Amino acid sequence: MQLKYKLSVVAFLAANSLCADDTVSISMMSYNENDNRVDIKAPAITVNKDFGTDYALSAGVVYDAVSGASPNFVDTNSGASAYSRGNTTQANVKKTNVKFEEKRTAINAILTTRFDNRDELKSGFNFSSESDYYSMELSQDYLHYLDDNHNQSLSFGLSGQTNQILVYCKNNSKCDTNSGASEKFNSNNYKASIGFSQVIDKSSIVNSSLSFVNESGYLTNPYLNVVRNYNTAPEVTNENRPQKRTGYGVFVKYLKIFDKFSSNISYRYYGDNWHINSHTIDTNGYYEFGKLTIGAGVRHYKQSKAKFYSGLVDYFTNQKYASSDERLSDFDATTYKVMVDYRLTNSINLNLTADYYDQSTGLKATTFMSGIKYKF
Amino acid sequence: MKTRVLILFLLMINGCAIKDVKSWEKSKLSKDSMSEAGINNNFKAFKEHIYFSKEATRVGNTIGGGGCGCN
Repeated sequence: MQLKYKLSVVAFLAANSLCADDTVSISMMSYNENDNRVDIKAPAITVNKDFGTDYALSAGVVYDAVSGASPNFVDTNSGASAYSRGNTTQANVKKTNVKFEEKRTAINAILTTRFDNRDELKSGFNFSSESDYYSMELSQDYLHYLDDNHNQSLSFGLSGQTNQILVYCKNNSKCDTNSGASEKFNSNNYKASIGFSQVIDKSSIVNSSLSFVNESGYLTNPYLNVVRNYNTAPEVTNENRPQKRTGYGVFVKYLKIFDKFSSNISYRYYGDNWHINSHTIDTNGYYEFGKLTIGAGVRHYKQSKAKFYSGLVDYFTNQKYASSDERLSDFDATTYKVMVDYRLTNSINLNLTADYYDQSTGLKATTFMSGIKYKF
Repeated sequence: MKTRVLILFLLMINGCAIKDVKSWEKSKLSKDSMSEAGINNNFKAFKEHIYFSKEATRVGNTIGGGGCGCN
């Protein structure tokens, strides 16, 4: 009887040790670009709650307030907004930082269901709303353990996202410009992934995945312009991107922990039919000083340009697809990261992270993130 | 020479041999610093959103598998 009681206690303790802590996290993120470009303030709250040993729910809300300016070609004769377009002269074509403001609210929820064999199904929902953009995504991820000790696992993921883009009607004959209405466009994307994870020994793990994405619909940025026929009859027009994009990615990550020091390194390759190829190497290290854990990391990213990109003012003539968006150009970017986690009490952790992002296009950005995590 | 390279390769493979780790031996693997997002994982979504906004890569850093299998 006493042995049975002891076994029950051990089983109860073991079951509780398997459960993640229930937590509430409150965060404040701040992102600033150089040259008074983009500035973002984003408070967020996330709740993680286990319901027994078989169900767990994670839900969060984030609010972004975005202001600043983005580099863009405009016809200065008709103003300096993203819609300063039309036939013009060479003297009136300028690349300048066009001001904008935006607010975004995003909510997300993931329900994890654990089965008798401890396989997991994650069902996710994401929604975000801006004045000119709505997005909704559903996802499913199934995790299957290949051995009794859960050292090997396979995961299969599928997601579908639908977006609605509202394009301002100025100079657009399809809209009623008198009412200030917008024309609605849609885009969709589907993603699929397969992942494999292997515990190598008591101190190291390898994760890997293969992913696929298909995007279709209105993939053009309604605010970005290109210049056509600069040498003959200059015209500033909205950029135009293909309505289909397919890409795939390969990802592998190795994690290793020593006594108080842990580290990881990952590599990602991405390629798509817009001729964008990218390589990302990311490495991080953490050291524990009792209640304090500090970390540092470096991420290096390199991409090739899209086949329809040119940043030159005199490049495009009558090409169907054309974009001067720097994000589609070839560039390198390096992120330098520092992280601090301090365990204030057994139930409260304080988090601080600072990133410095340096892109070869000239973009430089700093990100500060602070948060408090309460375990209950 | 080829034999030496082969022996060296086999030694490396042996050094990386996969062990059958039991559940109670995974205390180190279950630490936050060994999770996919590392410490301060509450900032992961925001950082990914920034990279999504500033770079052209659309997929590829999905978490692979189940990590340490601690749950």
